[in-house]
Order: sequence, then C-alpha cells, then structure tokens
Amino acid sequence: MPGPPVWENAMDDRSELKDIKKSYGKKEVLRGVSMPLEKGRAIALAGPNGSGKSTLLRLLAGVIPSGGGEFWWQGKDLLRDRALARRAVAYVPQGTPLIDELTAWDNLRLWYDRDALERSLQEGMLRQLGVGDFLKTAAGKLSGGMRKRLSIGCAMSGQPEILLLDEPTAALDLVCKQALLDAFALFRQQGGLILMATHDLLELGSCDRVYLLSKGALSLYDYDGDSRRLAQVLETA
Amino acid sequence: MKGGNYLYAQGKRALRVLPQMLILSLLLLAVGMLLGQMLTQRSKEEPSKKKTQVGVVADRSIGFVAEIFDGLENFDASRFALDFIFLDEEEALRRLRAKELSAYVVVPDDFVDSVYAGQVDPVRYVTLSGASGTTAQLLTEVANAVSRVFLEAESALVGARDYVTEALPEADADASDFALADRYTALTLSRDKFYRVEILGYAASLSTEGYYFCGIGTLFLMLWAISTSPLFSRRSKELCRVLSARGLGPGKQVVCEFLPFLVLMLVGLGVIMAASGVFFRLYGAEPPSLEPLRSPRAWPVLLGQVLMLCAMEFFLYEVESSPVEGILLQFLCAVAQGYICGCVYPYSFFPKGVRILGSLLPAGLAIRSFTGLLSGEGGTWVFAALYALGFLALSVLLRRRRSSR
Repeated sequence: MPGPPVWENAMDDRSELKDIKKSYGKKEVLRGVSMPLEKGRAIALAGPNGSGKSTLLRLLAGVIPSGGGEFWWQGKDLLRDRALARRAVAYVPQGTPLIDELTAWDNLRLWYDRDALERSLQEGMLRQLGVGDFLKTAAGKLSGGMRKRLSIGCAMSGQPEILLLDEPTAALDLVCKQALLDAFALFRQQGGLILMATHDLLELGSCDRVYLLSKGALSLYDYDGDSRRLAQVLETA
Repeated sequence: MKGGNYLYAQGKRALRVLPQMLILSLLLLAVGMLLGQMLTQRSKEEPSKKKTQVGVVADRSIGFVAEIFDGLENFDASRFALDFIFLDEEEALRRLRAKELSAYVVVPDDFVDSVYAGQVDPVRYVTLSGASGTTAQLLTEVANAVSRVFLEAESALVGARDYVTEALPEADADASDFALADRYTALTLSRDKFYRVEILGYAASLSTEGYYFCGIGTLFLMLWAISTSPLFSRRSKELCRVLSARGLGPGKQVVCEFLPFLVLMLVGLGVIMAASGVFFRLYGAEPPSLEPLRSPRAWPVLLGQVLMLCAMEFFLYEVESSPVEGILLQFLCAVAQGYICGCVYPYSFFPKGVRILGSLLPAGLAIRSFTGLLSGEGGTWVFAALYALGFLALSVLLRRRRSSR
C-alpha cells in the first residue's frame, strides 16, 4: 500500500525522485519521472519492454548521466553527490556482473575487504543469501540462481541503503526466487529501500507499491494480484 | 571501489589464461620453426630454385650489355636473387611458356644505334604474370631499371662520342665508342652506385635472415593476441557498468585490464624467446645475430613496440570481443598489416603510396624499429608510445560509450 508522500516531510528527510529525464538523441526515454521514496519499502517498476525501466535504474545508479531531475535520499541529492551515491546505492543489473574465471570468493574480494567479507559471511547479508556454500567454485560454473545470489552479495558490499534491481529473479526456479525475496525482506527490515524493475508476479506481489512506466512516463498502479488485469494494462501501455 | 582490487582480479585472470596461451604459442612456434627448417633445408638442396630466372635477349658481344646485367644480378637488396640467362628470343619464349622463366627482357640489336640516331627503340619486357603480384612488380621494376640504365648509359656515351669526334677528328670513332662504353659501365655502374639509385631493401645492411626474423617476429606478436582471446571474450559488460557505478570509470578499468595483459604478453614473449634459443641450439641452426638487442639502449625501443602492439590488440578486442568475431578481427588486422608493412615481403616491393601507408601503421613502425636495431641503425620508442596512448584512449572512449548505453 502506498505510504504518505515523503516530499511533504521535513527537507532533511526528503527522499524522492523528482522530474527525472533522459533522452538518447531526439528520443525521450524518461519524461519527468517522479515518485516518493521511503526507507524499508519495496517499489516495483513494471512496464512493457523498452519502456525505460532499465534506463531509470542505470541512471539512478550513476552508470549513465541523467538529462535532468533530482534523486533525493535523506535530504541529499544523490545525482549531484556522487560520492555519497556510491556508498548509498547498490545496483544489480539484469545480467550477472561477475568474473567467470574467478571463484565466488575472489569475486566477493573484488568488492569487500577481507574482514568485512568474513563478517558478512558469518552474520550478514551474505549468510542470508547462502553464498558461503559455493565460495570455492568458479563463478562461470555456478547455476543461474547461485550467480544471481553472488551478484547481489557483491552489490551489498558497501552496506547500501538503496538496492536497485533489474529483474532480479528472472529465469530462476521458485526455490531460488523465494530465497532471494527472503533476503530482500531482511534488507528492508534493516531500513533499506528496494527499487526493482520486474515482470514477475511473485516479485510484484512482494512490493509495497507498483508503478507503471510507459513511454517514459510513470503512474502508480494498484496491483491487487490480478495478473490478467495487469497483462491487459501492459498490453495497452 | 579500489582500483587495486580490480587490478588484482584481472591479474588473477591473466594468470589463469597463461598456461593455455603458452601451450598454444609454443605449438605455433614449433610448427613455424619446423616449416622454417624445412624451407631452409629445401633451398639448400635446390639452389637453382632460389633464384628468379629472367631471360635476356641481347647481343652479349657488346661489352656493356653483359656488364649491366651482371650489375643487375647483384642488385640483391630486394632479398630475391635474380638470375639473368642470355638466350635467343625463341628459346626465351619457349621457356617462359614452360614457366622456366619468370620473364624475359629484349634489348634490340640496333638499340645503341637507334639511341645514337635519336630514335627510341625500347627495351621490351615480356612476362606471363601481368602487372599484379609481387614477383611481377619486382620484374617490372627490373625492366624499368634496365631501361633507365641503358638510356642513361647511352646519353653519356653519345655525349662522349660527340666530344671525341669534335676534339679528336683523327680518332677511330667506332673503336672509341666501344672503349667508352666499356669504361663507362665499368666505372659508373658500380654496385654501390646501384644501391643508391634503386633502393629496394628495407634495411640495406641487414641480412635476409635478419630481415625475416624481424618480419615474422612482428607478425607473430600481432597474431599471438589470438591466444589471449579467453581473457577478453568472457568479459562482462554488466561488470563494467557496475564498476562505473561504484566509481571505477572506464579509464581506470582499461588501465587495470591492460596492465596484466601487457605483463602476460611480456612473460610469454620471454618464454618463447627462450624456447627459440633452445630450438636453434638443438637443430644447430644459426639464428641471426641478436647482439644489438642486448644493449640497454635497445630495451626502450623493444618495449615500446611491444607496448604499442599490445595496445592495438587490446583496442581491437575492445571493438569486438566475442570469440569468433574478435579472433577474426585480430587475424585480419595482423595479416593485412603484416602484408602491407613488409612482414611477408619487403615493403619496398609495393607502390609508393602503399609504402608510405605501411610505414605509418603500427606493424610498419615495429618492423622498422626491429630492423633498425638489428642493423645497428637504432630505432625509436616515442612514436610507438604515442600510438599506444592513442589506442588506449580509443579503448576508453569505446568503453565509456558502451557503458552509457
């Protein structure tokens, strides 16, 4: 259920996306996207292919430059304060950002220092993700679910407050999906915000709010679990 | 995100690729050396096949004609030993059709008189192979040289004869004509003069073996990148995006990936050079003298060339890193550059435009530096370093463009 709009709160806690724009040449991909953000929430971005979901996530992650707008989190504009953004925001793309020849341990060591890694494996998010079971296996030899868990584990290295996920459970079996959703729930309990682009009904059902992104414009969608209605909306979007 | 972590990870990747790269490279090297050994052996056993046979239809009784062709036969800066065979035109035509001759040159019997009379009765050059192909180009060049030598010689002789006729009316004009011709060819057409007039060699003071050592070495350095394709074909574009998001931009990414690649190539190069030394010793073959390469002054030049070629290969993998297309791109670039720049044939065989292009390309720069070092003329690392920086800058631009899509 949508919470109260955050932008009505005091400026110090201001957390929202405001008028985010992006164009590739003359093609407008995002046309003034705005939405409130709140700690502990999970927000889903649904929309037809090519609607700009991945572009929005990449833009918020700092992979691509924005064409204007603001990304406020706890009173700071993360599109301008890139140093803070690198610490506060974690991005997990649809593919797996791993080095296939190296073991899971080596991939994690790319992002974590040794102490933090061992701590997280014992009691942190990596334990929740079950990454410790395949530390010595080369990333290229892991199953799809393991690779996704490892990717998310790598992204969590800086103890981020915002997790940007691009179709996180696509092509995974139900057990893997549920394990990941449990990990996301834990992250939210700790005050994290999740913003995910998805088509998956299970993921949509796990989110507090669902937004539809169509032709670069964002609108709130009241998802009630009716997949047929959602499919019709997406088809006409 | 620390660049050191990424550099360390890339170093580990490179180490994993090293064994398979070395095995592949040593196999290639062994095949190449066996081939070289076979070719050397064959050419030793069949000395006549070493030479390109060119027929000469001319009156050999005219002294300077024979001397001119002797001079041309020594015209070996092209690294091809030419063999001129005097014979009549009927026999020349028969041998040409039987492909025993590559071409023949006809110097008309009244050539001297026609020139003296102010007419042009040209030297004819007859071949089957047309204007294309390196051998045909070489032979065309030889025909041009023959024409020039004859015409220049005749210009000098006619002038001298006129002088003799005017200054010494009592002298026997015909006798002095032949004497002048003999003396002219003996004095003027020395080999040194010949080399200066027609520059065919890439590095004139370098032996054929030395030249091909440099050429094949350059080609090998370019083709060798194929063995490192696993390092590039398995790169994750998503990882590049995430690295950018975490503060490790395309510039730092490229540096962190290039350094281990460069070290990998240098280590491999060392192993291969050692293996080559063992091979030369085992087979009792004589390698070209590499003494000049031991000078500390040669090292920056050598390192500069390796750096440049590695940067070029890195850039090509940045353009296309998929296993098939990436390897194909490396192969085509290596072979095309190798051909134009003189790794396969001395580039002096090519037209001037191609020669200029070849000398500007990375492979041309590398082979010129290698031959310069071996022949003692020296080389430069500055242009190679500039090239390397250019390739790396282009790689960064490509990476940035790709990540931002």
